[in-house]
Amino acid sequence: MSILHNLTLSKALNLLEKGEITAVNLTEHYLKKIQNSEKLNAFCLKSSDLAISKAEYCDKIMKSEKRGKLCGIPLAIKDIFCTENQRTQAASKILQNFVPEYESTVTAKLWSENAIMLGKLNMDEFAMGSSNETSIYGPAVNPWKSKNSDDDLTPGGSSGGSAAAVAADLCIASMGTDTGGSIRQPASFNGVVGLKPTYGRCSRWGIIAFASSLDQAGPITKTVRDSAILLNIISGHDKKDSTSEKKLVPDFEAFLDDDIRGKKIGIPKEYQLNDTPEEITKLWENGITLLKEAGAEIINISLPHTKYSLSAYYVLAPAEASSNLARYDGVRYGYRAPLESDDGIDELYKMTRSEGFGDEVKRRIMIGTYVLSAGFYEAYYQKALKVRSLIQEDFNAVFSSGVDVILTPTTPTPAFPLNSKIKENPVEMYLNDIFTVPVNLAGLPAISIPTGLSKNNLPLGLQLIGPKWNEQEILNVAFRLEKEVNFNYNPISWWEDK
Amino acid sequence: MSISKDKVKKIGNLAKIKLTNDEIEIYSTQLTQIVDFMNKLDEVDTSKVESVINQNLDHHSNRLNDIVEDGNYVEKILKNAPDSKEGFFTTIKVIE
Repeated sequence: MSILHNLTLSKALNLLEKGEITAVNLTEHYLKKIQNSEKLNAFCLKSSDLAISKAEYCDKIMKSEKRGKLCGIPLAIKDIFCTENQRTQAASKILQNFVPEYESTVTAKLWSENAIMLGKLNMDEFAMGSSNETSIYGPAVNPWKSKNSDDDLTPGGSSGGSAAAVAADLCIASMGTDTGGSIRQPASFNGVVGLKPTYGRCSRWGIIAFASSLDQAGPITKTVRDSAILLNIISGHDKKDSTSEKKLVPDFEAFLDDDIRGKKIGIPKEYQLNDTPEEITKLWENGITLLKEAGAEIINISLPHTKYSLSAYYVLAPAEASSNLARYDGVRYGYRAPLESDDGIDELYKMTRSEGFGDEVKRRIMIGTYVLSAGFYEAYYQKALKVRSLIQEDFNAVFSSGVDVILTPTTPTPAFPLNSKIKENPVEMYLNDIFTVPVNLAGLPAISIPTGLSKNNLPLGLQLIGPKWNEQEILNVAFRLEKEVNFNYNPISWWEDK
Repeated sequence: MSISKDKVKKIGNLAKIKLTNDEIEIYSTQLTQIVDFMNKLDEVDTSKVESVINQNLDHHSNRLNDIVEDGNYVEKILKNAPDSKEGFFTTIKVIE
């Protein structure tokens, strides 16, 4: 098997440094794989020429001091990050043909360390969705198949393309964003590692806004080490985003020593639902056993307001979205609807937004408008803000009692089929985010790592949640758990055109 | 609480989204389901809780001073406009 097969970021860096492979080899390898993997619909833009010219540059400077920390590493980027001169449309018709004149801070940091961009990745429209089915490009497809069926499965959402691309080895790693689980749920569904950093750890500048008090960028990778390496690069204060914090950024990779003896791992009883499938409960129990055997102390905890998280989230996120998406008016950028000669400015706005936004986005704008409207603001928006404070206080109480990290399942089920009935009732789709949403409401860091297979041979993930500004702790526990689990499965390639 | 079709039309108007009759019908059902789901929040006693817009912010000291540091990007700003003329965005005539 080729040396290039299924390379991790740390291994690729090593091979590039030693000169055993070149950046051009590696980039061409991925571009070819991407070309042959149309069935996954993971990429919505391929920046092949840009990738090759950057790879040639990387090979030239590989031995010099200018090389940077990611020299020659091919990455792919969720379509929600603005990339200079590269089409960016958050999988929405309303941003059709939008070509940013500037680069998001997170991606600029990657390119300044000489990573290579292979292209942009499919996602749910404006990151609103848990199955990738709200994308204007049609859904990305999960590379995994259930053992009993040939049905195409969802890669999850909203960063579905980002997770599918890493699982199918179409890039070394990718970038996603997470507002209510949009990195962790797809990571879990695709058997890869997904990290949502603390709110304020990374700049949101140049990331197309969905819900500004919840959105955060993060890496999707093949290993925990790779996640730490990328977090090192993308973290830090940015004066262009006042919500990015001036916190010292520790060396997350250097912190990985896999010693978790004496660490206190909290197990929240509220995450055991009445209808949780047995395979999820078993996965969780297995994780608990492995951490215990590695020397951690297991502590039963309670997060009493957990059951209100989804209701609070589905007030607050749409409220913020309805405000953020008011900017799409058909005047300054993006799509403008064709109009009749006697149409006025109101028709311009209404027709543009009606034709430009998809169903789920419209639904959320409508809900957001409703909960912010006179007479309902107090009852819904203010109420949800207060419940959010209580959810945050639950976590604070647990962490200040000495718990280091919380362990939970990432999702209540494995990946489900695309076009399933679930999308007919939006509330049922929202239930997918039940274990991930509380983390965003509280602004905490969390990571999902693959720790087992379902009875139908689909990957399942566990989530580790830490206190604010303590990614190093969850990364280190995840690093140890990853070693204990030794998740050594990959999807069998059915999608490649040979 | 049910969200009537009239209510849906009103929300669509506030949100500047034109809705077809079919959409009004569907959204009336779906928004009712969603609002029912939100009503779960009524169970929580929040009488002693303050409301904070963004609890995820530790402080607000990162704001920039209101000083212009760059500019003269007219061409770049207009590049993605559906229509522009002589350095301005164009829209249709507004007569009130």
